[in-house]
Amino acid sequence: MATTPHEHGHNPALLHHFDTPGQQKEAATLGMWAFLVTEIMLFGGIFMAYMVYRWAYPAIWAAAAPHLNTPLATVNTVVLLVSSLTVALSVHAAEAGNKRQLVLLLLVTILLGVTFLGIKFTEYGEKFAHCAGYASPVAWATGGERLAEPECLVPGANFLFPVEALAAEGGVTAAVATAAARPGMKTPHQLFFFLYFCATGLHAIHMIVGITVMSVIAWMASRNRFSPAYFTPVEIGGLYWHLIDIIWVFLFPLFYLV
Amino acid sequence: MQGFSFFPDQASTFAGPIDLLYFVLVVLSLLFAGVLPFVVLYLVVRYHRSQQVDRTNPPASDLRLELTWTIIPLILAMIVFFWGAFLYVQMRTIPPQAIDIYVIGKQWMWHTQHSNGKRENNELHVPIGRPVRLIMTSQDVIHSFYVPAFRVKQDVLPGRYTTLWFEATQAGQYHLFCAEYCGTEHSLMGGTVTVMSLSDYQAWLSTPGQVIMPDGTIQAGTVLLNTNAIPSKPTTSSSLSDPMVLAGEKLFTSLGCVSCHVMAGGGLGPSLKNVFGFDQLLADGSMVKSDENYISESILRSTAKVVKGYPAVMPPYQGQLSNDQVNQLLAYIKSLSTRGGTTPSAVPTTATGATAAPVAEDLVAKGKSLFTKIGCVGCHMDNGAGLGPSLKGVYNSTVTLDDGTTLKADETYLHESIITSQAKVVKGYSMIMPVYKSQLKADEVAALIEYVKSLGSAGNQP
Amino acid sequence: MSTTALINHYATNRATTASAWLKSWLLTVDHKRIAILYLISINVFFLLGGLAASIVRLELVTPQGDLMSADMYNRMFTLHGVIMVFFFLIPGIPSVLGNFLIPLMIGARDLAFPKLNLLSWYLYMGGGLFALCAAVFGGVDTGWTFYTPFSTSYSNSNVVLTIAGAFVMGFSSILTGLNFIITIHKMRAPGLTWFRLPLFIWAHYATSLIQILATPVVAIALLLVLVERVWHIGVFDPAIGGDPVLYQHLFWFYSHPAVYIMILPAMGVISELIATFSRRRIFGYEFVAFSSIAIAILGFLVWGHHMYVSSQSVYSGLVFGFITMLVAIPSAIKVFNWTATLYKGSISYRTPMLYALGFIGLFIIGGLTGIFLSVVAVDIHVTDTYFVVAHFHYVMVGGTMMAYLGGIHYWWPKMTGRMYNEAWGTISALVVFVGFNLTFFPQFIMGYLGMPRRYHVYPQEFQIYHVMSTAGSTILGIGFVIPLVYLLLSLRYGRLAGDDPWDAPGLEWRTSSPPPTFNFETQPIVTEEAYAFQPEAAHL
Repeated sequence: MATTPHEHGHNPALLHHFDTPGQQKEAATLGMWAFLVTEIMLFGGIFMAYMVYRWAYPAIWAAAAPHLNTPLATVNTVVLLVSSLTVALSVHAAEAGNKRQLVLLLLVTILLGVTFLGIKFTEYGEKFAHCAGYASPVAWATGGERLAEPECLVPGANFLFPVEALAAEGGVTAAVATAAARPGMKTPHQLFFFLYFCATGLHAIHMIVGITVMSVIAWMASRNRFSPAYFTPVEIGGLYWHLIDIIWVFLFPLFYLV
Repeated sequence: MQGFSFFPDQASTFAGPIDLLYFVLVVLSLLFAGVLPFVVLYLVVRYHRSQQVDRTNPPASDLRLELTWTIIPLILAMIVFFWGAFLYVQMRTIPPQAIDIYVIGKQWMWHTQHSNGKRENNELHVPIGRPVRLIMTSQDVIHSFYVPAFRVKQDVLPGRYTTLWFEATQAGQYHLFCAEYCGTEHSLMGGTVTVMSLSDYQAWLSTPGQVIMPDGTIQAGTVLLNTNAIPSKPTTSSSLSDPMVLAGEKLFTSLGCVSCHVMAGGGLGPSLKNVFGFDQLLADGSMVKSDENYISESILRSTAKVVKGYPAVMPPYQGQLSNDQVNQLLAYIKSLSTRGGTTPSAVPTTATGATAAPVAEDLVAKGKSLFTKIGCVGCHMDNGAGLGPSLKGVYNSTVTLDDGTTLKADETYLHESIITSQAKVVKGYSMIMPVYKSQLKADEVAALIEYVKSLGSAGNQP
Repeated sequence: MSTTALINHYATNRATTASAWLKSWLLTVDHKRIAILYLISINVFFLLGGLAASIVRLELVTPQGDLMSADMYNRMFTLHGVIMVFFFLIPGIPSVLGNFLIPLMIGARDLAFPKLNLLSWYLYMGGGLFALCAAVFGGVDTGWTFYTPFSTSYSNSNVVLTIAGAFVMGFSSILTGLNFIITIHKMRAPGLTWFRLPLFIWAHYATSLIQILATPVVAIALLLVLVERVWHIGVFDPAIGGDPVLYQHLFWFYSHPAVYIMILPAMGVISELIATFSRRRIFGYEFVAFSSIAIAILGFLVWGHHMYVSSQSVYSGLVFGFITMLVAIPSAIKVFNWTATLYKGSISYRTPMLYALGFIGLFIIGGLTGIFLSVVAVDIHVTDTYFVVAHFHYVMVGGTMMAYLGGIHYWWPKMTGRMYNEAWGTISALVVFVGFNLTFFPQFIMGYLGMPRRYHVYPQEFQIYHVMSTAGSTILGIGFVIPLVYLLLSLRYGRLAGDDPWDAPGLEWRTSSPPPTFNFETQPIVTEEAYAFQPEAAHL
């Protein structure tokens, strides 16, 4: 009784429930766009929280932002923008049917993604090393240089916004700043850093997913799965990658350049 | 409230208007819910497939009909909306002469504190005919202060103040509920709101009870004597004799606030005179209205919103002050402002002193006021013409009961006659005195006894 | 066809061994099989949620907490809420009926992304497993709303697992919505223009929009609660200047539209039922279609009406109140158009029609009491009381549940190839209607009298209403069990349904019952509007 009335032997990539490759591709692309909308709404929640608290504590936001590592983040921004370019080029290469170029560009993209994560990891490592009392992650691992001025920007029981920064924030006297700056200090500075870790952490998770997706696509490309007639995965994978970049482009100024 | 009823007690000025609006909504709903189902029923029967009826040219759509049933409900909805909005704005516009009472919610209990420092647990006494503003905060999770008889409800949040006002109209005792789920004993987090006449309320304020001292401790059994007359009209600036303000002032001094916040200005911090209720210009150029939330934030997280022209040198007090203490500081800072609102306890003064046990004379005075307040005096008239015996010289005298026995009217007898009044009735009087067992607290009974004793004892007429 | 044959019917390849048979179900990408997987799992969750509800109602017979401890009571009503909302009402109609019918109704061979569809079911089951684990290992007592800071810092229960469950389930919902949107956009049969679509499709399209736009927001809100609970620090913590009310905003930004995720598909079902059993095209088709979209859009702008007493400013209270009033209009339009459809119809009182008529009656009450709640001044008194409980049960049970049951009965012959017992169907519809009203109508009265919700013990004066309510819930429970029995029996003993037992014109009836794997032997081509019923004469 259950028979398949549609024979698609001529195109192995066309799934049986679609009529034409065009319909299939449109469905996949529209699906990806819809998914990107949900991703934006997901980050939207964090952006909303960010806006609410920035509006509530503008001075604290201004004081806290310089304590993030802006140079590293700037490098990361450049890395991501370049990766967006390589993704765009890879779609172009797929369209042109240039397999070698496609695989190469995808690998470069993956490499850039990994670089981004590496830098991000260093940035996080620095914050955690400071909490442990060391100057840098390397010093932490090797038991090297201690941090001169105590500081801990990881929200939690040990959170400590540096005294001289507190003092600079509004001309607080050193004595008062010292009194205020106790480990675990319950001030909205914690909110800033908490949101920072949440937003960039969530972004990093997306980055890991993106790298995985790109790896699969690169593997598929190397196995000759794509042709100028069919390269939908490259296209929608690229869309996803661009979204990750765009989110970073918003995160970077909001957290580092307040 | 036995059996069936459709409206709860109406005990505030909001109750009537809200019930009316509700009633109109019910009537409007019946227009739809009472008619439409019958239309459906009629159609369902008339056009049942077995019926031979005209089914030719069934309409597919009709713009006029669609517009009709879009616009008529829309108009009705708008009428109801604006009516409700008008009421809502009223409910949120706090009259300037409102009495401030502080409320602290915590799992699973309500603390209320009157401005003379008197504190209650799971109870709230309020006067009739005077707007009351509740200034509420929570120590832990979100609660909601709900008095059905007043038709008011407001969530009580940790870390900030919310307010609520009402004007009670009907003496009595009403339910107080927590309406926002707050954990295990959520359903037990409630109590009683007692509405009393203004004079009774004033008298009640000076009865012994819990009082919060400036250091945050709670002194039980302290009497706050009310020696001032009840002001017929509330004054616009509150008095420094208000004990809660006094407590706040003491705290203000002991914490050292006073060394920076110099009243005359020129200190390291701004003078707090006329701060509350006024807009403040902040360091970043924005304006903020100085309300309970701003003041408490400036105490607890002092560097969050610093007034322009002052260095952010104040240490944050988060974690160092209890909610009660913050409330006292608030009361004090409000008392420094012409927009600080009023307190009925411009009334009670003094005798706070940390006297843990009241002295006998205070008890007599208190007993006397109670004797008047709960209406004893109406029957136990001094000239003996009342429905009850005169109590002059009763103490330690020998009385004859209606069963013919005699006994000595000692403290035990007086006590028994108050709390279980009908047990041993004096000969010649009828058994009409109410039983006060559940209505008077032990210390109130003690005060009454002291008062009766002060009326003289047998052989020792004063 | 015997039961086994029926179960095998859906297999792409006839299963020969037990494990192959299991695989043919658990790895299926056929939307109809996945719908049946959902049907089974959702009904299991419904029974669990119903069980929790009966325990709650039993406890409330007396004003004292004599049946169980306060902690146990709190866990029970939370379990009831979490299961019913996240695992029954939200996925209910879309995942079962939508999944089964959308490709059939639009003449497609499957949903656009069949594997994603299967993934949705696994996510649903994964989320459900988390929630059930939470219930077994200590339960959770926060209420289904997980309000902070109670959920983050004060509750001593299994909040993390439950929230993880709701979070995972959220992605199931997102993927289902996404699948529906793309399918409806890209997979319609030739000739099937937007205005030839059955209203069921319109309703599901509106629902899907909400699912993909709102669900991610609650996902992130729940994630933030999770993080705050695990690390004891977070954005909703008032101690560091955080705002617990922000959580409520994020939560209701999803959870109010989620209410329309629950009710819109139900309205779609009702449109189908009323059309078929009146043998009439739905009156004012465009108005009904666009009212679904209007409800979906307005639904995003009214979340603040859950928070009138939560410290919201007067201004926002008024704005939210105003927009909430507007939602009443498209809902009213639907009810009026359904009523007008009956005019000059040829009506038969079959079980699905009885559910549809019951829906109209109950939805009128549910909708009208919604207006009471949108009037801020009245809402201040009745919010967080049984009035609200009664209102949303009228909409969710009186609305969604009635439509779900009606829809299951209506499409049962299509899904299984068998007819159920009509007499029992009629009886159960009446029992459900009576039991429902007895359960929830007294709650309106006691709500206005001031009985707060989520109370384990309560003042004596409310007892009479609670007793009525519990009595009603017993009847309601029986009403739910009867269909379970006769529907299951029909699998073996029901008479064969044939392709089109209701003589309905929809595309889903233009194929065999149950339909073959790819739905249609030949690609259908649509030349008519929806609901083109054959002339009456043939039917008498």
